[in-house]
Amino acid sequence: MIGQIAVNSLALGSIYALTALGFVIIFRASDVVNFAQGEMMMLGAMVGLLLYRDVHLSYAVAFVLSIVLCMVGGALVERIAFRPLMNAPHFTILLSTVAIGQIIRSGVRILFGQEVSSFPGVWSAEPISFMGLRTTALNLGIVALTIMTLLVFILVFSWTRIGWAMKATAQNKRGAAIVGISVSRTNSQVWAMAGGLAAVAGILLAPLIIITPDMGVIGNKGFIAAILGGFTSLPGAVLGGFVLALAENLIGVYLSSAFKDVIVFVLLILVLLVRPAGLLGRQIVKRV
Amino acid sequence: MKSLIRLAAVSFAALILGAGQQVLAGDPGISPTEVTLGMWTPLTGPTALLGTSERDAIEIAIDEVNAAGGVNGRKIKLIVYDDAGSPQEAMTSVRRLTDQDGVFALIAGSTSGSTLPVIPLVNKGKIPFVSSISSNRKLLDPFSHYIFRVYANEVAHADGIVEYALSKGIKKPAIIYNSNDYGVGGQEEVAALLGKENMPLVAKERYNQTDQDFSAQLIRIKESGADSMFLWAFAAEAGIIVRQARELGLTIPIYGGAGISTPLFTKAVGSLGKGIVAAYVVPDLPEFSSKDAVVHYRAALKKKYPGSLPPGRPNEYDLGGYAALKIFAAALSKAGSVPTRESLIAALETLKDFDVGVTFPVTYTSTKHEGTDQTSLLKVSDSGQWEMLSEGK
Repeated sequence: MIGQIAVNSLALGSIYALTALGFVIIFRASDVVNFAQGEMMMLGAMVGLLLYRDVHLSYAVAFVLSIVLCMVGGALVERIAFRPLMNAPHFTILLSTVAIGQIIRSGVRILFGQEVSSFPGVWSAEPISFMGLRTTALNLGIVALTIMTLLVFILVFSWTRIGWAMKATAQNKRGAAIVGISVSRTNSQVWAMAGGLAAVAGILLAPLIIITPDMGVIGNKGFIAAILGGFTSLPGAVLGGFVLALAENLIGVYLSSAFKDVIVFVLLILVLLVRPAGLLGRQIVKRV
Repeated sequence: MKSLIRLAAVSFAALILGAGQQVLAGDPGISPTEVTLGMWTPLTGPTALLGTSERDAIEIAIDEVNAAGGVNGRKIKLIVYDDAGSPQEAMTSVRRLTDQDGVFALIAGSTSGSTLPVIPLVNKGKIPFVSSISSNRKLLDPFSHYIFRVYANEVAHADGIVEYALSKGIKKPAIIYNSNDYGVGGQEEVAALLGKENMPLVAKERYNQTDQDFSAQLIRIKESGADSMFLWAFAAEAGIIVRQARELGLTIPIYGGAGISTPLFTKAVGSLGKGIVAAYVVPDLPEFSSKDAVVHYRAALKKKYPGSLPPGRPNEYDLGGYAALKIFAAALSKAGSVPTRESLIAALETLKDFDVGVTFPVTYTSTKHEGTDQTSLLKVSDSGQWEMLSEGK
């Protein structure tokens, strides 16, 4: 049974992980928590569905185009809700992202209505059995894509000029500007990436659950996963996603499904008390 | 001293006059030419479909009544506020309707979660309320002199579906249910009905409204060795639950509460929904029925939305709202030449087998404000659509 619980946690964990990644890359580069991440994911799924079902594009084209559109969307959010506030207190920027999330959610609801739609997956959702464990090709594909996305982001952050620029901007805006990095361009790029990531997560998640304007609430779980992982570490975010999904399901099966959320939040507080920097995060020491 | 007596006399006279004036003015919200109804309902938010359906239906019914000259010459006017499904907004809206707008009566209401909290306001304000969304038992338990329900409550829903499941020979039933008023109420009712047959639920699993993953609950149900599963959920998450159950190899028959018997469920669940049976609150499928009253309503709705109807319409909330207004109008016409809230209530309590044609007929008495306990059953056909399984119980 434990095996089945673990297998069942993989796909859900992947979605938590992808959302957590979105939180982490924006935080690393811009030093803010983007609470619109879940809504951007929902938007990605909605746009993907629109292109696939209503515009009749092929799945691959709809997927890629939706990523591109969400990248543009991410950059727009940066331009509208982040850049003008760049020097405002963190709390102000945070509220601004919450507002953007609400605007996206309500906007989608007005345009699409409270429509419930299911999105076909690129892989089959027919159950397959392997050594007594049941899963679907769709679930396995989602896990593989999540790992791949993680690797791509690690590469970008560690080995490319954009990655270095992001790191430098986050550490010291003025310093980065002095050495010739365009801070605002770097921020645009990061938010665009987070938007694209949200689209990937949204489209992958869509066939697992059901597309509604409220599916963005899963972003809250991504936030917790990011905290578990340390909020600065990319592999930490992914690990945090898997750990959170597994913990939820273990608690649900062995303790109580009713208190699942309560216990998860208690665990979160414990982790913060014992390891304030999360599972894989580094303690950030700011020197004055 | 003299002046004091004079003052007392004047005050007394003013009091009498004031009181007299109040009696002459009658209840608020009604004049010889107009009667005002108040409605609070979710027009936005996750449950917006319920509210917008009810509002449209009530507006259509009002237009029909007003086009025919109104009720005894009084045109019906409607004031609607959006509560977005939130109990706090519901409280604010009802206060505004009663204190500020001074409506004569309330209609439709909101989801159970946003209707139950306003019951004290309704009772204290002594305002008649014809309710057509909430199916929660507690709306009329304890009994309220002011509240009338249009269709069967959750007890009756559970009755119908449990009876059907028992006839299919279930032995070890389990249940998965929403942790809100709707789900908990349904779970208690199903458990009580099965308890009468000495058949305990082998697993009772609850989830929270925003949950997206139900593996833990479903694994527990699978491990319990259940041979059937009751599902007390709303359509969207019910779709995910059924899909995840089938993915886990949980192929036992599923019996649903009325929360899933909407086209949204069949859309969400896809081909895996085949054979699922659920309770239903109206005698005919609003989308397909060929019954005159339903056909008539569909035509009126299409006029309201030239082009195409919004998704998920018409549904049972359309029919419930339409019936609620027609029931109100019928009672008002019998409530005397100068109707008061009390005379409206008295008139409602004389309705017997009153049939609007779109819901089950209602009967109210001075001690029973549940209009009906009749329900029907729906089944997901091989083509993946709901079809009527039986009419009435």
